[in-house]
Amino acid sequence: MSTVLNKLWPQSLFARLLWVWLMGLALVLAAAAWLALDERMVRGQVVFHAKVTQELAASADWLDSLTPDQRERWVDEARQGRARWRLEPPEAWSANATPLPPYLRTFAIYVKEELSKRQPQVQHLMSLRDREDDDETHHGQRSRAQTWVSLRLADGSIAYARLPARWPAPTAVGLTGPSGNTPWGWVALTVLVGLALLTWLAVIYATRPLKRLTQAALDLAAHPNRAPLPDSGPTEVRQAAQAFNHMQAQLQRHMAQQTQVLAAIAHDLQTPLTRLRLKTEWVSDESLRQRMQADLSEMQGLVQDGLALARSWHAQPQRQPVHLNQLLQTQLSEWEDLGWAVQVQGADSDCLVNTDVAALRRVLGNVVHNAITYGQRATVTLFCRDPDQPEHWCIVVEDEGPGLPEADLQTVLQPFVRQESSRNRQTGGTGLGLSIALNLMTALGGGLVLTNRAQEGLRVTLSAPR
Amino acid sequence: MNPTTDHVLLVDDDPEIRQLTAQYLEQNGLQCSTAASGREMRQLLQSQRVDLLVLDVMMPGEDGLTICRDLRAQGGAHSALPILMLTARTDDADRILGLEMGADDYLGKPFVPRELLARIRAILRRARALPANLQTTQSPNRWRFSGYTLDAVARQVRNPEGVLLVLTSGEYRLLQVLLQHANKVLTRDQLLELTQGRAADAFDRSIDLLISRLRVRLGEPARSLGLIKTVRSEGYVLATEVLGE
Repeated sequence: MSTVLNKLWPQSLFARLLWVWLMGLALVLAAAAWLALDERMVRGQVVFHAKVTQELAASADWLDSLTPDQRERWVDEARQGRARWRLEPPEAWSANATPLPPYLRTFAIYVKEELSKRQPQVQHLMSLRDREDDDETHHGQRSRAQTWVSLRLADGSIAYARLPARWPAPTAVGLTGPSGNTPWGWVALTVLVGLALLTWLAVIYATRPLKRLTQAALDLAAHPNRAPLPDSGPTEVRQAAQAFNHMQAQLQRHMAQQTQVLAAIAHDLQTPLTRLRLKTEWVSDESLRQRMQADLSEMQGLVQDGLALARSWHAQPQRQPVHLNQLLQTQLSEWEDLGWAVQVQGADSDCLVNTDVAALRRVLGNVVHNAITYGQRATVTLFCRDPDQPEHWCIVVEDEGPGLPEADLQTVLQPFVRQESSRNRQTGGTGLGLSIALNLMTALGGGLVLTNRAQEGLRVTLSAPR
Repeated sequence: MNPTTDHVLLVDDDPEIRQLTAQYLEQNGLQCSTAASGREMRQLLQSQRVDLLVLDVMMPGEDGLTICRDLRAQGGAHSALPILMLTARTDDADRILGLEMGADDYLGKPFVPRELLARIRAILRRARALPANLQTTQSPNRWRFSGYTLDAVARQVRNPEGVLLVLTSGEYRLLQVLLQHANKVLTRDQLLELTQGRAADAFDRSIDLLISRLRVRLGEPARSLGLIKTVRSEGYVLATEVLGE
């Protein structure tokens, strides 16, 4: 049971609000409509009962005033009106009596009460079933129960009156359409569509700030320095925006402090490192001196990369128009000067973009250095339009190394996480290069994705808006 | 005191670094004095002949950048004194070399002492080896030539369309030297001295490679204008009107 309910109960707040509103409003409207209709129907019946009763009384009075012969003639003539009269009991009178149909019960009470005060008194009120009515069969109507009233006249004789076969349908007075049929289907449809539209609007209005908040939180993960949320809208939304902005400010402060601490440590380490480096010059043991100097270089590399990482956390890109192909050609010259085996492809025609040249050069340097370290040679391919996102450019760096286990493709991008097996400290570097590159690409509004090539080797895909 | 020994003045606030560095430089044939602050430095400069200043950027009180700018601005006896800056932050490099500070070179801390020695010797040799007309160089913050701009503060070069041209540091230095000596023919040796602070080997073609790369980087219209001309058996010249701001 609860699982069925769970299935019916929608997952999103949007759908839940919509559901509650729509169902609730529909129920309330239906109840109100029912109450109003019932009230009108009761009143309509009372009016009809009174009319029939008056007619019965009037006819009885009239019959009273006639002689028996006149009565016979009148009964034959009086074929208009709502009731038909007889002076003998109808066939099967009392033999085929059935209980009164429910819609006549209130009338029976009413008519007896009304006519008890006057001369022609009601003797019986009776429904007779299965008696074909001559006048009405030709209308194609099926035979139905007939209801007869027997009235005792002043002279003691009995007159029988047949009540109308058409009793007012249980509809409300004044609510019927021009054709006499109420278009209930259309009314319900109009009301439902109207309700749905209103509810839709209300729910959109109620859930839109939440969506905005969600987007802001997602943006915050990628760009900690994003602009604060606008401080506007209804009170609750404003308070939520203020709380969010407060949280963002706190986060930025924490990150700034982190950077400051790292920068301070890095800076304060420079002096003792410089002293130590100078002191090693007086170490007479050649091999010991070289090992000490190698350790110092490693420490210095760590300090510098740590500082670069801290800065990359909240890098603010300085975009400039530049030809990516020209940038790659320059980088290629630098790599060749370093003796790296790098091949550049797709950089023959101009590819004008707006980007942060210093950040991109650092990214390319780190990624290509990584490729050379683990894959000996690197191929850099420029796609001025990313095949997947035409508004992005894309640079793919591939090496011919062993690649990475699938499980490590993500973790290797996290700072200070190093792979146990192939990519360890022995091969040099601090392991921060790809983390810094990822942060800088994120700051550019783009991304860095690692995949293994079908052949041996790792593929790094850089892309960012043009 | 041997007058032919080069005299280096080291300004650094850390006593141990001062002592150790001075000891290392003296072991390697230089005379080295030390100063702990800008004030001490000025006193020493007034009383002694100094050939080169090694200046730490990060110092409490008056920092190295301020001292450097003051020395250059005075226009006095020490305005042409070669200066090598020591910096802990690589970001400072742009400001040291690019701004009106006018330091001759810089070295990041912690430095390798051998590297410091080599840089000092290179600067001293350059100061001596170059003819007098090449020594005094103007260094404006922005250069304009044939529609191109070189922004020395941001270390950026733009083509006439305003698109950034990405240069290696070697190419950038070469372009800066060519601009400083525009319309003068510079030999390969002079270019090597001015850009890399070293003498050319007999068959050194590195300047030729650098020139051809720079021509590629500048692209059009520099190529069709023949902006960088080869002067047969002499060297190279940047042949255009150059405006410094």
